[in-house]
Amino acid sequence: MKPSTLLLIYLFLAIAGGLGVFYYQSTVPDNKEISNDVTQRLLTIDGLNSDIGELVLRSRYNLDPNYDSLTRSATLLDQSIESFGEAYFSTEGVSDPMLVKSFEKLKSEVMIQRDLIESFKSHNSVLRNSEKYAPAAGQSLMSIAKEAKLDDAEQLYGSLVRELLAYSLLGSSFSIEKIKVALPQLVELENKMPEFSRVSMFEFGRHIETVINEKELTDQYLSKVLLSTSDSQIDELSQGWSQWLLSNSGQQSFLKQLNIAYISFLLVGLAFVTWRLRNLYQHLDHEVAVQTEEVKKAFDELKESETKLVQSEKMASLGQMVAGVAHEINTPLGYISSNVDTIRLNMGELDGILKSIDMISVEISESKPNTKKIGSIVKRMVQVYRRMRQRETLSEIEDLLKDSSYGLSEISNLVGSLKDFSRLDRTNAVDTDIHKGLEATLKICKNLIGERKVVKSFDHQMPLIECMPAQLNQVFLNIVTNSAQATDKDGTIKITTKRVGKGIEISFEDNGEGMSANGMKQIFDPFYTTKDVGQGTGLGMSIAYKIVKSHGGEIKVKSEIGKGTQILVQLPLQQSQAELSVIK
Amino acid sequence: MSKDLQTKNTAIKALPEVLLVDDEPRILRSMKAALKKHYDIFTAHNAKEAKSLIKKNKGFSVIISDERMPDILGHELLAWSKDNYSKMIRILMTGYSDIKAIQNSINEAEIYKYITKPWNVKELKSIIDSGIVRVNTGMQVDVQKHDVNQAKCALVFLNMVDHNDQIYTKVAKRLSMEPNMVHDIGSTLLVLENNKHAGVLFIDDDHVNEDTFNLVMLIHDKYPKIVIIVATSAADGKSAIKLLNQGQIFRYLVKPLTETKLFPMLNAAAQRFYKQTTRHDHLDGSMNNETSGSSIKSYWRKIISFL
Repeated sequence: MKPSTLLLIYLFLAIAGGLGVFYYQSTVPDNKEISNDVTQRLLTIDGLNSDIGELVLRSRYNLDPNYDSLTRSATLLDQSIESFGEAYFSTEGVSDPMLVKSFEKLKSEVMIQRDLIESFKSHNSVLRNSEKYAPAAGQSLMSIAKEAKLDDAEQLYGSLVRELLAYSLLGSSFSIEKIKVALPQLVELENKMPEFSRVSMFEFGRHIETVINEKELTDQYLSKVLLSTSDSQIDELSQGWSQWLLSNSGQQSFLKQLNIAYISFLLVGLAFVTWRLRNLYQHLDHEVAVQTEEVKKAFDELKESETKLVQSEKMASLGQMVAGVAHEINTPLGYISSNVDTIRLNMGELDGILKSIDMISVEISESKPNTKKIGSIVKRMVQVYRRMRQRETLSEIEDLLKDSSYGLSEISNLVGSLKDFSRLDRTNAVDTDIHKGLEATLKICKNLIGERKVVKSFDHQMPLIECMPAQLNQVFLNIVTNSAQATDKDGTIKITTKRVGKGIEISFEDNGEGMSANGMKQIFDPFYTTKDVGQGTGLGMSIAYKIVKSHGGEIKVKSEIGKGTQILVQLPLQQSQAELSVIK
Repeated sequence: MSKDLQTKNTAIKALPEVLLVDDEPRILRSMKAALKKHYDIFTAHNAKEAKSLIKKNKGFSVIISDERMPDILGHELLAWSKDNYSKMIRILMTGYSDIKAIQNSINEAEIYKYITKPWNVKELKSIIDSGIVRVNTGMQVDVQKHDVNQAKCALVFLNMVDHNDQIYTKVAKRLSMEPNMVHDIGSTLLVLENNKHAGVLFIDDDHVNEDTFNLVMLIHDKYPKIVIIVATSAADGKSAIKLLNQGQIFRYLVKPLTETKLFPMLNAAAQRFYKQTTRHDHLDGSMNNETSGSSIKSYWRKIISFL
């Protein structure tokens, strides 16, 4: 299978797995959050429930002047239960039946409690009203009785008020008995008490009646409220929640495992990708190393081939030099060797004369010399000599010898020039007479220059300059060669030297074909050549340029088509050591 | 040659006349000293002098010229003398064998031999002598056009390269000559042996070596009438000189060659063959007619074999 297919499958699985895990996570509730929230809510409900109990008691014993707090707490409890139901027991909430049942129970309990509270409130209000007005009515009846000097009545009223309050507020059963005993006495008093107090007496009686009735009812409701089972219902719900959460944790841990599995799956993918990347990098590193090696090799080859080209240019100019010099040397060599042969032949004739002299000397040394014989020998000798003179053998020998020694001096001059030209013994910059190099170059080029006129206008006060003579001679040779090749057979090459400031100037002028502006621009470029293929490497002038530059000098070209070319070489008298890099 | 000159020559023992041309007087002096015993030596320092001497003397037996001279190149002077005094044996002498000069001297001046400096007097003498034999036997004499027997001339192409066969066949057809295409030395010799009309041998060889030299020498020896042309892409002065001096090749060509170049050249070669054949026939005839003793006969035979 292709790696790309594998990768696609892997990516598909990763995305599908991610979506699956996400979906599953969304179905499993977050235990911690729910637990916190539910606990908070249950605590609030429980607190409100307790508050209600307390507030009910406070209302019963007149600690709270009104029902505001009680009503608020009851409403809050309602709201809490409502929102709790909405949060967890709506359609999408918890579906655990036990929990739902438990909550429904709590809810109905609270509803019942609420009704009880309402009933309590109404009865308690009536009770409180009577509790408040009964003592006042009793007080006024007591004062009336006192005025009417009815002590018993006064006492009865007083004790009734006391007992009523004791019963109402403390619930004393002793008091109610007392009241029940006193009540018939109260009816008896109606007739004793003045007329105007009858309304008060009626009111008092009603209040007492109300207190007795309402106290019972109120207390009944109160106890019902206080004994409400909502507390236990809250506990039950709380426990239910704990159990439900516990059951949820199974799902939670499964989700956790699922998450771990998914992360492991992703990690494996990541590891694989990392591994692949590492391999890729290693491969790339290797590739880059190989490429670098290749580039380096190519560069080395280029450098080498440049060196080879420079060398071949040197060889080409050497070959040209050798060709010229060979002709120059072969000419005298030809006639010298021929002359030697001829002279040897002529010496054969002289040999006869020498032999004759020998014979004469032998004859003379005899005790009696034969003058006749000597005479005939001398005669023969003279004949030979005359023949030789007639043939001009002797003067010819003289001439041939003279020619030969001239030829030998020519050859030795030429060899000297070659030595001057190449100066292979010098590899460092030395003080050099530039004219010597120019002369040697001209001699070497003699064959190439042929009949072209060479005008030398040399500055006789030319100082020695520090340079590498062999290199400069190569420059001169290149320029002179080009001049000779650019001019007609009867052309002129003018070489001028002069001192200029801290340096010297050598000018090569010819009246040859000249060159275009383009040619002038390219003359020092490597491989630029106007010669036929095989006639020049195209490196001559570029090497000349390099050499002059390495001497800290300048080489310039001025040319006009049809008129000629001038090459100007400027060189400093002294070399700064750094500048003179060796051209190999 | 005019009768006056002949009588004059006979009067002074009739030494062969040799003209030396060189711009270096010492060479002239040296050569004259070496050769004057055997030949009547004339010297000229430049082409102008040489030309006027030739005109004045109405030709010489042999002209030996230096190649590099101020006013003219040696092969140019020799080409001039070929055109004007074709009987003269032309020898070129030079200190430096430059391929262009060699090629020109063979193809344009049709020189007899090429001598390199420094020269050997003995060799020089033997070359001059062999040239003089040619003159004396009339080999250099122009055969009159109407005399030329325009017999059949078969072309033999020794093609040592893989291509060019087609061009050669085509040119031969244009010349209405019979082309014989061979590709090795053995079959070349076989064709020459069997084809009586073989007149021109064209050798196309990019690797001229000892085998080529030997073949050319052998053919020149055995079939002196056959005109030999060598074409190569690797021009080399030394081998050109060797082919000329030992095999007397008619042309030394540097490829590439075109059909238009080849056509007149092969034609000229064929004309040369006709002339040589006519001369040989003439000489053979005169030899057979001569009844005045075996010594003369053997002399002719010697001359013919020499050629």
